[in-house]
Amino acid sequence: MAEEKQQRFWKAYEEAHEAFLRYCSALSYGKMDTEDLVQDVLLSAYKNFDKISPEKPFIHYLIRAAKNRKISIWRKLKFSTELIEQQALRLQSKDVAPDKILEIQHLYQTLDRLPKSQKEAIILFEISGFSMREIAEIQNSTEGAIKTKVSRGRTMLKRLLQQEDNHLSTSMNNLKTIML
Amino acid sequence: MNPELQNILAQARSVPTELSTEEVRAMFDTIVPQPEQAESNNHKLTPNQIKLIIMSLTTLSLSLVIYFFGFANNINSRTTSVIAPLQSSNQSEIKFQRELNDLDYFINQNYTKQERRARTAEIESLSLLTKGTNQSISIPERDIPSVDMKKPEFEDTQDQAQDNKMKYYSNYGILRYHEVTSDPLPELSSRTMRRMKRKLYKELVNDQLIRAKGIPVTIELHKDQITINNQVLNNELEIKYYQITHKAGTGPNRKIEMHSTYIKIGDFTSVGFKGSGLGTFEMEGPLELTAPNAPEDPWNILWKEERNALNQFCENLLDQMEHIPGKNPLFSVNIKDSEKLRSLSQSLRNALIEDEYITDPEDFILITHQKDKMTINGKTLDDNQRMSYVDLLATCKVKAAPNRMVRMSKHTISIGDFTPQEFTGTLANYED
Repeated sequence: MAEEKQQRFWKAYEEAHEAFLRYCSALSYGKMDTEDLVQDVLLSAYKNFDKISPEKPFIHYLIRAAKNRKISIWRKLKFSTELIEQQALRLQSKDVAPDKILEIQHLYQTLDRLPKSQKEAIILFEISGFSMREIAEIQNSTEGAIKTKVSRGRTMLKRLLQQEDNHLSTSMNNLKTIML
Repeated sequence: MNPELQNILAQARSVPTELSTEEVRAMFDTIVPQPEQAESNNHKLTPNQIKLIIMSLTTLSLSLVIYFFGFANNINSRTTSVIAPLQSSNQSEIKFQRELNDLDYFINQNYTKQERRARTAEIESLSLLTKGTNQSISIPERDIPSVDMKKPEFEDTQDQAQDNKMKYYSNYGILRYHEVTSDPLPELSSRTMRRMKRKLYKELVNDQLIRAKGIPVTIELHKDQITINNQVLNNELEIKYYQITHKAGTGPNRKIEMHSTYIKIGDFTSVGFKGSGLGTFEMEGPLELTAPNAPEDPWNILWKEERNALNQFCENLLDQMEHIPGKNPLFSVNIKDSEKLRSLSQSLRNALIEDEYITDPEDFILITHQKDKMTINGKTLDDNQRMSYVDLLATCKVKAAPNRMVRMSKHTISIGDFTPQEFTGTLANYED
């Protein structure tokens, strides 16, 4: 009985793995070890597996569980450089180039500055690769609202990234002046 | 979309996931217990259970030590109380603690500061006697007033001064007052009250606590409990409604009373309501601008008499005038800036003296301010004069309306909508 449940669970999970992991990586950036988050969510998902409605995709439950976990636990947590390093090491072990890792981490960091709802929508749409309709189902919202969130999120993200670039170039110029 | 941003996002999408499926599988196998393991795990004690066992064992051993090595150290001591039999070590400990607390309280009540200090030192050296199944406390002889061991009847007549205190009786029947403090009375703007009322009605209907908006609602905001129309809320709703009403504060008499036409937020005591209100509601008793229990201030008497005389003067004038009362407008006069109101009052009086509508600054004044008509003490103004007074009143955003009037005496001013039954607007009293 338990074995059968495990098999069913695993089959459902495998389909959701990639999107779920990308979501967790972006969500947990600097705040929690992704492994811990995945472990917590999997444990609760397995426990409630029989209660999860089979009509809705399993990934929806996983995404919601991860989000709820974030809300309940991380509110007071501060950024940890160790966790960021750990994430970089993991990606490095999967043959991802260091400059790419830096860019991705920069993106995650900038994403963290977006309003919550926009951040969620951007991660789910742009990084995890869900469709607008799926995101609307996960978030109990409408497609139109999600489109707005994604669009606003993109604009803000672009602005934040540009601001940081400008700030960086100004700092470099100042440094040059000091050096000269 | 910006190509650079698109590029970064594409990279984030294309890189391998932080954990591969195999890694997650391995993790899953370790965390999800096998059926046999799960069953054996059921027999393990949780950390809380272990803590409980350790605590019980410690308490039991302590009680045994006290039982075998307890002694009386003072011959002149007298036993003041006998507590319940030792049913379990935990219970006796609790009882002992209670007794100490009561004694502490009792001593604090009956002794001066120095005596209290000395007594506290003695209490610290209390010895415990245990005989058979009874446990007693012995206290060195001192003139302690005898304590009535009978539990007195609860008095129904509540002392006014102790309105905010909760009465209860300790083990010895000592009457104790536990003070339940109120938050300070809220000073809420009409915008805040209007928003709170709207939000409350919306949520109450959504939560099916009332049938429809506009139904009379009474929300009692106690420190530890919130009730809506005498219905105690569950935890989830309680948190929700505390959040909505947090600006109102809490207290034993703190309430929000709502109706379709008004909202009242404040303390509802046996002597009346004290707090903020918005809308049209009946005042309970005569209008008092000071605390209800305060001794009658001579100024209060003067203002009351002056206002009564002014109202009489106005009613007489209105009877003689051709005044057609209409429906009150949606927005009533609400002048929050008292300085502005004061300066309006002075400017009006000066203008009226200049235009010879009054000769004495102490004269009563009645100004009716309708759409195309303005009268001062029964005299209708021509357009030029009317416009100057309209501009003056507009400084405090007083606009024309069917029942809008300004009533002034030497020390009082009322601006708003007057009907025979009610007044909605702003009033102020001055001492000079």
